Amino acid sequence: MEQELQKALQNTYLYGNPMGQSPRKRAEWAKTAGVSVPVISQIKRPVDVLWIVECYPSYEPRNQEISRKLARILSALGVDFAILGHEERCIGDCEWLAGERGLFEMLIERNIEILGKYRFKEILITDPHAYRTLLNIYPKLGGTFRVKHYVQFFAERLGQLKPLLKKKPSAAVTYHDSCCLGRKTGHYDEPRALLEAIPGVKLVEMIQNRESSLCCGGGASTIYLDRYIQERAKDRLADRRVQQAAATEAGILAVACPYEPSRFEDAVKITGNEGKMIVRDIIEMLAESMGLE
Amino acid sequence: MNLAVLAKQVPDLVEGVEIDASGKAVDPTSIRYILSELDDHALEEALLLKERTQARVEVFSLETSEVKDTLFTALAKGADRVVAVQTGLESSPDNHTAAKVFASALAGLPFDLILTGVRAIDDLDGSLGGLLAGYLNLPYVGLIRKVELAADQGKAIVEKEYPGGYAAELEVQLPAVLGIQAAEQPPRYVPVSRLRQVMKTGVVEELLTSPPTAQPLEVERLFKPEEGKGATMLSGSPEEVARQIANLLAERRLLR
Repeated sequence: MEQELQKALQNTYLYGNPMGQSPRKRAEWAKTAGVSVPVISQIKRPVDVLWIVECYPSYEPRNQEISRKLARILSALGVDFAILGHEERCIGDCEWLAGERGLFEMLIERNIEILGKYRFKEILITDPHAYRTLLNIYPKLGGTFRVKHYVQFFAERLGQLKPLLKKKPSAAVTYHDSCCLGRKTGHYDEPRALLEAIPGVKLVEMIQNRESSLCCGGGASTIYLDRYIQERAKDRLADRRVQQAAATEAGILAVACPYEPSRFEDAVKITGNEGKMIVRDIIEMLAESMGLE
Repeated sequence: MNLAVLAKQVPDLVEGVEIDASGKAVDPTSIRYILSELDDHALEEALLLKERTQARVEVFSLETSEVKDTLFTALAKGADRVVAVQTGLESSPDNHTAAKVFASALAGLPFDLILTGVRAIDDLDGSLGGLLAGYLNLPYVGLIRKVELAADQGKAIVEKEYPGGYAAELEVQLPAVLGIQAAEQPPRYVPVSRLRQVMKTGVVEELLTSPPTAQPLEVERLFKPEEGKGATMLSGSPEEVARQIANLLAERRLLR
């Protein structure tokens, strides 16, 4: 097995996240959010929304910024929410698709047990892979939850959100449909509705969009096989996708998946598009428009 | 061929390590134990030898709270027998004591090779292998990165690392003790389904050894690196900085 993938799986077994970070530090990002991010075991009461932050948004610095902005938006909308904090573990999409069935089952058993301890109306989730897995796979193994990705969650609250969106973005926007929010679960309209609610947004589509969107090459554990793939493939899917985005001449590549910011920012540099295009999560664009930076 | 692997449990630094109220030991409630990385390499090298020579691999670990995780993992990877050695000691023994415990556990058993990591993160002196070899009256070679068995001739050819990128091939008479620096390939992955199956059906044998007499080393103080006082930054042209350094050395009477 490739060493990077083996390490990611071993880390997930030991620590519940592929980066090998301490589970105790899973909610460290929240300390500098500037708003209260309650941990459900500490507040000891039912909440409306249990936010499953997932691994990349919890630990990866670029994504931690997005998590802090998501917390500020929830706070600005007055949502009654909490996170699992140190009890949260990887939902398990990569482990399942890498064929590590035993690890996937272990994660599911543990997560269903933890989620069963608390009372909440619905789950809000940041990562489309985890969203798809909770939506489609967990019920088959005994864990049925009302779960929404943030694009759904905020699209439902567009009436409340829209008056708060004030600042215009600096450039035209193109949106990348990720595999798990797009083809796998059919959420094509909500991300576009959120982006178009931002004043002055001109949305331009890439040649491959919606059902025919191009995969970023990071899902199903391939994010840990970049080197392996690079040695064998002509080019990386992320580079090809960024070239499609650059062809629209939009200055902002909008995304809604925690793998994308770092993958596409690297690809922007590799394809020589630095200075011409920036990568922004929809959360960042909403927060910036709301003045919540 | 019979191979023994000594697998040490060390604190997992990812979880952080705290010092207890006595200031002399690690707070056991703050840590969890995992297998020492180089002992994982020793196990891997033993499993590679098993694949090549059908040798039998037995793994010995001193009892800690998480020792069964390590030993079940070793079984799932292909070890033939795993043993948790109980010492009756309250704290983790130093290498001298551990070597005596292992010597009493292994004495008289028909092992051709005893493999262990050449050192561990909580005890960098790397003395366990050598001390054990001394107690068992066997040869010891450390910093090994490759082992070939020529069992019919009663010897092994080992590759030992030296500083500066050098290496040597040595011939060692069996039985012997080896301190492993790195296995020939990274330690293998064990699928969690196999590990969970082994946890249900596998057996960790327990071996009670008589508690060793008082440990020869006593820890007086254990502490985290202490922050020093602020450094003085020198600025100016190279000539000016050189003059300042010369003056500072002269002030401290470090110049003749």
